[in-house]
Parts: sequence; structure tokens; C-alpha cells
Amino acid sequence: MSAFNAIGEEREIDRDEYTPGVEPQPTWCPGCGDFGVLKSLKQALPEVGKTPEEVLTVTGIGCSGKLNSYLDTYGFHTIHGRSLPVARAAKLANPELEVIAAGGDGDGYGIGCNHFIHSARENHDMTYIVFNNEIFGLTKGQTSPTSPKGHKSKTQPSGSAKTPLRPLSLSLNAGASYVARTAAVNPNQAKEIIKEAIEHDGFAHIDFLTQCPTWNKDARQYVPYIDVQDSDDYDFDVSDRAEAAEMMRETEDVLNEGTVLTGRYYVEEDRPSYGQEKKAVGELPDQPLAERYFDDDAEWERSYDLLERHT
Amino acid sequence: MAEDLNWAVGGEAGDGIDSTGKIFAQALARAGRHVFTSKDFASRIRGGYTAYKIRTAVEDVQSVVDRLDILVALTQRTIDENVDELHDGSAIIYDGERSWEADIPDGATAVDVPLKSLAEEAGGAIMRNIVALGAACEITGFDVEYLDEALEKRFGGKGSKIVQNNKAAARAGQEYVQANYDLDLGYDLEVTDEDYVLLNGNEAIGMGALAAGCRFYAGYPITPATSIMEYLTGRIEEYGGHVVQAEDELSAINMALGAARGGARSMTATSGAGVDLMTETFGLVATSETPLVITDVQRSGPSTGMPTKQEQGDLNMALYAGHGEVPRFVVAPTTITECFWKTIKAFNLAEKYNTPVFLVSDLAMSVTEQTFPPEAFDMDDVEIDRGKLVDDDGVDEWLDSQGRFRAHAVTDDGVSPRAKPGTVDGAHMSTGLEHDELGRRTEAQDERVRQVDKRNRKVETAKNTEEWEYRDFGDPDADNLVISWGSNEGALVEALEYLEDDGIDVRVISVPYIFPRPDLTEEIEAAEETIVVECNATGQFADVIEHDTLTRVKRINKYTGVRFKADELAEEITDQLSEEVPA
Ligand SMILES: Cc1ncc(C[n+]2csc(CCOP(=O)(O)OP(=O)(O)O)c2C)c(N)n1
Ligand code: SF4
Ligand SMILES: [Mg+2]
Repeated sequence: MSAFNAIGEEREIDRDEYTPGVEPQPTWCPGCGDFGVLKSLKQALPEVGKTPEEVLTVTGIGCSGKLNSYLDTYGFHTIHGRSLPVARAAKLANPELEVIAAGGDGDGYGIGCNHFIHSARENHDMTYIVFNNEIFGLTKGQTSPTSPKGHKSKTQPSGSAKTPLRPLSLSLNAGASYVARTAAVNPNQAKEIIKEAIEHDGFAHIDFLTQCPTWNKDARQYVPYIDVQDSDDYDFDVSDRAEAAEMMRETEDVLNEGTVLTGRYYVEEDRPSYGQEKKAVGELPDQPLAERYFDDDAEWERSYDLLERHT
Repeated sequence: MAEDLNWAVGGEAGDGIDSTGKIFAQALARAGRHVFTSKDFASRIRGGYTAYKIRTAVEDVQSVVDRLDILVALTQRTIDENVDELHDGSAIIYDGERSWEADIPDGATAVDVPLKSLAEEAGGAIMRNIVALGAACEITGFDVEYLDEALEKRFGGKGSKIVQNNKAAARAGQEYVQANYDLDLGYDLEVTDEDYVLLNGNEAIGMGALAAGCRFYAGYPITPATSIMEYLTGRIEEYGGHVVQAEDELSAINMALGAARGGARSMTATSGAGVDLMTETFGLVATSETPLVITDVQRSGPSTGMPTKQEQGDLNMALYAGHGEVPRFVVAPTTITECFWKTIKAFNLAEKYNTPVFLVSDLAMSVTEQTFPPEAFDMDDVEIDRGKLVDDDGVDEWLDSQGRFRAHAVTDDGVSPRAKPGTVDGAHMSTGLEHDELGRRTEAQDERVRQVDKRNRKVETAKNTEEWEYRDFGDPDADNLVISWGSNEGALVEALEYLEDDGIDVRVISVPYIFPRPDLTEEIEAAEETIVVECNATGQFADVIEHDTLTRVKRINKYTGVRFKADELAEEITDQLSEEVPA
């Protein structure tokens, strides 16, 4: 018997189960894009057959970090920039869990960027949603790594001199095996992308455009948006790295000119995840690490033989 | 005093000094002799003096002394570095055929052995150190067959040919000395029937972690903590665990935290500079009430300091690092066996009180190999306590009237339950923000106070119900009290013998618990003089003791980068006792 009875439970799951009794009403500003992420996540999770108790959502700090306060799952709200290492290790400890990490553009592409690069490189089997509002929301509108060049803020009054970070290209080059961009204004596409990301075996990165009407008035509401898969103007193969790279570059270039491109950009199905690779070489046991303790035979594996090598 | 022999092999880093020394130490352990080793090294891979020193006796040895009897010198610098420790009865084994002209200090006996040529005859120049070990056996009257056993252990995996060649090389060295020298330096190594295990402090921590059920480790390489990670790698998997080399220490501690939240017993280890980075996460571990063991194998700081040198400079950091007020436990093992037992205790404390536990060791202990009877690590004495971890059945007790899990329930003992993700009915939030019982963030004054009090109450509960005993040596009624923390214990215990010979009565209190810690007020009041011994410049533990007891103490501080030696400590203590007590 598994020590984690919630895992793999087969039953009808209602969307409402994900709405906590604790804090059902988010405190984001009216019109905030973060509502869109919450809504699409609440729709996606039951559709992929996950109950709240087999999901762990790990967030960073920012307006975006409040996500799991409004989502009834196992939730862990970490510190600024560190959601990824926490999330990927929880997944290693219990691979049966559905692990989702989320945070802002400052959180993931700034202070936590090193973890983003390495989580992608190592292809940890998890979903990472970056709420990209091109601004520091919670701290009231400072320039973020994705703020466009020339964007004025209290900390960059003459306009940002820096070219914004390219989240999709970075993700691809770092080694993510699923890369997509969606927007809060398009909850149906967002829901489908989240479902794909959850079902993907490997590091799935979603750059989620979330408008911040309070602090980033320059940024449009990310409308009109174009789904690159639906539009006849774009034709590329999501499994082809070079074509994906080119499409990503174009998407990043045109965003600040007012054209919002979204969709799936890169999908690599057969690349083994960190866990799969480690299992293949015998460095990660098949049984979840966290489950061993409840195995009666383990008897704490008192390790009597440990001393032998020291004789 | 133990009838001891002090032996060393030294040369350039990259000369295989470490493995040569270890082979000799193993041979001695096999022969039922006690061994205590130390290392001199520079943090360069090649080029730079390095030495492996062994003190051995039939009785227990716990310290190094300032005396060298047998020195295998592969370079002139090895001789020069050790000239003060050599004496009239010392022998220096060296290779006269090599290009350097050995400059042998007066009094010491030069034993010129063609190490390289003999090694080549035995099958390869690479075995020249083994030839030297054979020569050392002859000079010390130690049966070369014990060396065979160590060689089998070291080279067994490389095939019988290699083992045979090494055995031949050892014999070539032994026979050369026998044939060419007529030495009588009075060394005659006695052997016993005892069977000892040989291990260093980091291996003991790694072994303790495995025995305690640690199933996840994340780290980022840093001297001298890395060998814990290397010990666990390849071994933890056999027990169903996993080791991760993270991209940096920020990630390492957060991964260890993530695995702990996932339900595994988990730990990270680092050294000073790594603790700086990890500090960011201490508060999150404490407020989210997650059990975690964080090991600091101290080295000389600040900044990059002297990375391969001894220091106990991180005590204040262990006690206070992190903004705000972070409830924690700080445990500092005082010996290698204690590294094992206190690691187990650290895991139990972490899970019983859902809080970070700092395990503070140091470089000297991490590289010292020492012999112990296997009973010193009796696995049957290992107890595991997972505290208030609940499963599907246990969750019910902790649900509120609306069926929500109270992950931060306010309890009399301050300890709340823990439910791992995947447990039915256990879903909850946890956060580094201040929160209520359910994990909802709050800034309400009453909730804030309730949670702070609750977390601090855990520490009070632990203070009152756990044992925080110190280790007591020497004469308990002595007028002179010496207090120490961490790895100085062995040298102090041996220093007691020197002091006793000089008619000086001393009580030694060795403290393995830094927080909570034993109250030493009565002990200090009972003594006429108190000295606190530690390897740092400012006396961090002495400050803490003065603060606790409102009494001034004398201090012995060493921050040269080298651990205390027994004879040196005896002298320092004698000097200090004759001085005025500070005002
Ligand atoms: C170590 C640290 N530095 C700074 C902060 C202050 N801080 C909180 S959130 C944030 C940036 C938020 O921006 P983003 O990550 O884009 O999240 P958003 O609010 O836009 O969703 C900053 C700088 C902090 N909490 N911790
Ligand atoms: S400040 Fe911006 S990002 Fe934060 S809640 Fe308000 S609209 Fe959303
Ligand atoms: Mg932002």
C-alpha cells in the first residue's frame, strides 16, 4: 500500500475542489492578468485527472507568488527566486506528485534565473509557469528583466537602457523540453497549454503574459494576440530546434512593437527527464524516496554493513 | 603517556601522499593499533607541500603532538617543514638517487633508499611510496604482512597483478633497509588482537546520516564539506536515497528543503562561504516548520580565507545567521564518533521539532582518520523519531471544524503536525510569510504573537525534555576548569595527562550543544579559574559563556589555521593559570 493514498486516486474531480475554503477571493487588482493563470489552472487540473491532494504548487515572491493561496492544493510559498529548487527536489522525493512551480518575471528571470537555467538544463519533470508582466508588480512597478528597452519606471526614469531578456530563447538554449507562451487574455489556449505542460515528461516552461494594469500601463493588455499554431502566417515545426529558435526570436522581437504571438514553440518528446536518466544509471531508486520510510521491510535499513568499508 | 610513534609521509601535492598515508594507517589499524592522523596541505592540486601524519599507539590516541619519529620525505621541503619536530631518534627515509641533495638535520638518522629504482624493479616507478612504506616497516619493527592486508584493500579492485607488485615493492623496501642498514632506534611496534575501524569525521557524518534514514542530500562542492557528499554518493542509493549536486548553495539548501517537504529525511552540507549563501533560506525552513539538517564543516575565513585550514570561526553564524529571529538548534560534535551520533540526534531533533538543525563540524575533524572499536558505532543503538508526522489516519485529529488541516496548529508543546503532499485530507498551504494555523498569511497582531510564541515554545519544550549534557573529563573537583567546544576535545583530554604529570589538576568540560546549551554557571562558580579554548581569534564561545554566566573567563585562541596539539595546549593552559583573571 502506498503511503500516499491521494496519489493515483481515480474519481470525478470538480473544478470547485480547487477553490479553497480558506481564501476564495484573490486580492489581485481588478483586471490583473494573474486571475487568468488561476482560472486556466483550475480548469486544466481536473481535466488531466489530478486531485488537489496529488498536486504540489510551489511559488516565489511577487503578486504572482500568491497563486497557491487561492488554489487548494498542497502549496508552498517560498522566498524570492527559489521556487524551482524546492519544487524539483519535492518531485524527486516523490515522483508521483504533480509538481508545478510558478512566479514572476523578476522572480524567475532575475533573482532566480540561475535556477531556471539549470532546472531546464537538467530537464526536471515539472511545469514552470512564469507570470510575465514585464514589471515588478508587488514592489510597485520597478523595471524587470523583461521590461522593454526605453520603459520608464521609478528606478529607470530615463527609460531602461537594457535590452529585455528573451525568455523563450533562453529556455530553449538552457534545455527545456517544452516551451510555450500564452496570455491571460486567452484562457482557453492557456488551459490547453497548461494541460500539455503537465502531461509532458520533462521540464515544461510556460511564459505566461499577465498584464499588470496597475504598474505597467505601457504594456497593452496583450491583445490582439495571435496563436502561431492557428495562424497561416506562421509555419514552423515545434520539434525542430532551429525553426523553434527562429520563431522564438521573432516572437520576442515583435512583442514590444505590439504584436503578441503565443502558442507552443518547442516540444521535445523523447528526451529523458532528470529522474528518468538517474533511474537508468541506478542513481535514483524506483520507489519514491519518501515512501521507503513506510515500507515495513525497510526496518530503517539500519545499515549494519556501513562499517565494513572502514575496516 | 601513550607509548606512541609519530610517522609522516610528505612531498608535493599530486605525489599520492594521501593514499600512501592512508595505506599505512590501515595497516596499523589492522594490526590492532590505534591511529590518529592529520594532514598538512596547500590548496593546490600540484606543486605545494603536503604531508600525511600518523600518531599510533596501542592505547587510544586523540591528538597530534610536536614530535616526529619517522619521516618519509619525497622532497627537501618536507624535511624543512618538519625540522622542528625531528629529534635525535628520528629517521628520515628518502631517495638519494633523486636529483635533490637531502639536507638531513643533525641527530636524525638518514636512511637513503633507492625508492624509484626498487619500485621500477617491482613493476613500476609509481610504487615508490610503497617501497618507502616497506622501509618504514623495517625501521619500526612492524610486520610487513599487515601492510599486505592494506594493499589488498586498496588495490584489490585493480586486479591481483597490481596487488602482487605492490607487495613486492613493499618487501623490496624492507629488505633493502635490512641489508644495508644496522639501525637500532628502539622502535618496535607492538600489535594486538583488536579489530578497529578507521574513519574520519566527514565519513562519520555521512554514515550517521544514512543510519538516521537520510534519503536525500543536495550540495555544492566546497572544501572541507565535499567529502560528505562523496561519501553519500554511490552509497545512499543502496538505501533508496539520492544525492544531487546543485548549481549553487542557494539551490542546494532549497532542494534539501523541497525534498524534506516531499517527505524525505534530508540534509545539505557546506562550509563557511556556502553557509553565507544558504542563510537566505534559514528563516523559510523555520517559519514553514520544515525539518532540515544543515551541516557546516568550518574552515578558515572570512571570505575565501584559508580554504584548507582549520578554524572554529562560524559559531556566531550558526547561532545568529538569518534576519529576524530564527528558532534553531545548533549541535557541534566533539569527536569523530560523536559526528556519527550527533548527526542522528540532529535528524531526530529536526523532525521532532520541525525546525532547522545546524550540525557544526570543522576541517580538522573532517580530514582526521582515527581508529575505533566497531562497537562505538553500534547500529542497534540508533533510534529514529519522526515526530508528529501524520499519515491518512493521523490527519483527522488535526482538522479544524471545516475539515482543513492545521499545519501550524498552536499546541502546548509548540509542535504542530506534518502531512506530506499526497496524504488524503492533508492539503494545506505553508509559507515564509507570517501565517495562522492553516498556513494563511496574516498580519493580525494576535495571530503573529501566537505563531512566534508557538515556534519559540518548541525550543523551550526541547530544552526541558531533551538531554543537552556536556562531556566531563579530568578531576571534577579541580580548581581549574577548561571549557571547549567542537573538535578540541581530544587534544584537551590528552593535555590532561601532561598537566597531571606537572601536578596541575584540571577539569575539562567539552560542550557539544551550542544551542540550546548546558548552563555552566555552577561549574564556573565552583572553579577558581576558567579558561575557554577554541580555534578562532575573538573567542566566540567564550563570549557566549560570559553572557550566560555573567562571569569573566580566560581564553586560549588559536587561529593559525592549524588545530591544537596536546602538548601545546598543556603549556598554554599552564601559562594562563599563572596569569591574572581579566577584569
Ligand atoms: C531577497 C529579496 N529581495 C527583494 C525582495 C522584494 N521583492 C518582492 S517581490 C519582488 C519583485 C516582484 O516582481 P516579479 O517577480 O516580476 O513578480 P510580480 O509581482 O510582478 O508578479 C521584489 C523585488 C524580496 N522579497 N526578497
Ligand atoms: S500590481 Fe499588477 S501584478 Fe500585482 S496584483 Fe496588481 S495588477 Fe496584478
Ligand atoms: Mg512581474
